[in-house]
Amino acid sequence: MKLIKQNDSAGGLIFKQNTNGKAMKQNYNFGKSFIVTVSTSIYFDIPVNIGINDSFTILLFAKKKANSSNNPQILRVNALTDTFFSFRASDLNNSIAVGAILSQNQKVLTGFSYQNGSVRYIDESGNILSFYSLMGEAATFLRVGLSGATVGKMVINNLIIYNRAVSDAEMIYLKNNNLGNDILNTFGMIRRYKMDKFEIFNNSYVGFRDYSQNSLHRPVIGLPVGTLQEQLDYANNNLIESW
Amino acid sequence: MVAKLYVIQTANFIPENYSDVIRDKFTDKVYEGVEYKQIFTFEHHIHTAEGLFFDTQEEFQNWKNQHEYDYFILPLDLVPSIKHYASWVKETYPDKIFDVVLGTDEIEVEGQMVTVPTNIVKMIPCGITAFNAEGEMLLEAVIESWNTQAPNKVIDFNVKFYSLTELDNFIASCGSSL
Repeated sequence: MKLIKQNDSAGGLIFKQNTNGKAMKQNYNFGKSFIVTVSTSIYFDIPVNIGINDSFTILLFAKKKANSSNNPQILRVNALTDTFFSFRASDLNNSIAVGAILSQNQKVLTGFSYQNGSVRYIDESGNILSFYSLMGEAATFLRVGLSGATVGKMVINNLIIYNRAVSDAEMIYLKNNNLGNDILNTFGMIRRYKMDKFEIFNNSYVGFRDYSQNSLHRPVIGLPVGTLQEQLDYANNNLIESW
Repeated sequence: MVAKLYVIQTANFIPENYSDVIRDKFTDKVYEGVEYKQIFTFEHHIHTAEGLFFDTQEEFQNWKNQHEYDYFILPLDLVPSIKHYASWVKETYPDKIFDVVLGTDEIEVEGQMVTVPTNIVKMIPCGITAFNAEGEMLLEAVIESWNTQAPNKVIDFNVKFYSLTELDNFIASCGSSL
């Protein structure tokens, strides 16, 4: 199958040739994404209520953009340092830090599911790895986008949280070889931020839209002080980039 | 649209110099013991040339590092392991080394009783900006050592100085007997 054209905007079209040489279209890819670099302190917080015995899935698609040996930390739980829950993988010397490159194997974790101690995570290349670990603490909110004391630049896209452990196949389908696929179903989906553009909400703040049924749109913290329209223009011009 | 980080001393802050969009959105900060007002905003809301403008976080960080110098004091002679660390300070700030007298004796000189120091410890100030992690670690060891070797001499090693001037004043006020 040959890729003959790609439009990088969200909801754009990818045309592929099928075996008969006819163009097929696929109506989704990751498109525009939120930039996270060490030089910005721009982030948003998402309230969640994940207990230590709950099943859940957190997916956050990330792509390294700058050539550096390290990456910003892009997702934290309860605003704690660089670790994510207390999971430990047998083949890793780190707790999970989604988005951060793990020093041992240089992989960027892009999401994981959790059920009864079974953690299955998908790395940058779309491989599924698994280990067993109990969750160390309940999560009350997630902080997205705030860089740690590292270097590098990443774009992130589609933070999706489910109150169920999605299957490996679904994670691989959504990642779609780093091109992205539209969601299969919304069952158990409690948050979904595409992060492809900023919007003004309730005439009171600039932030990201929650596309789940909960519509928990969130303000983005750290934008320059100004009118809402100025903040919106600045954010869309400076903090959004093609995948 | 250009956004910049802007810092101005609170003493020079005049609200009318800024658009009413940002006027009451400044954050109060203290750098080197001086009060500042700070904001990340669009340049066109600022109608004065006074104050400092930073294009990037890195520029601002560099400026801030120069204005956030912290110092603390360490007894040079009591902990042999800090001598290599102290040598940097000795070299850079030779005039900052001062003595602390731990013990005195009274002796008679030409018929008069004179107090002379018998146990002197050389003290050095260390900048923790440059050696943050190492310095903090050493400080703990020093405090422990000091409490063992000079239990009767209470010194607050946790005192911090935000400028060399502040440190100078402290040393001057201590004299040689702290």
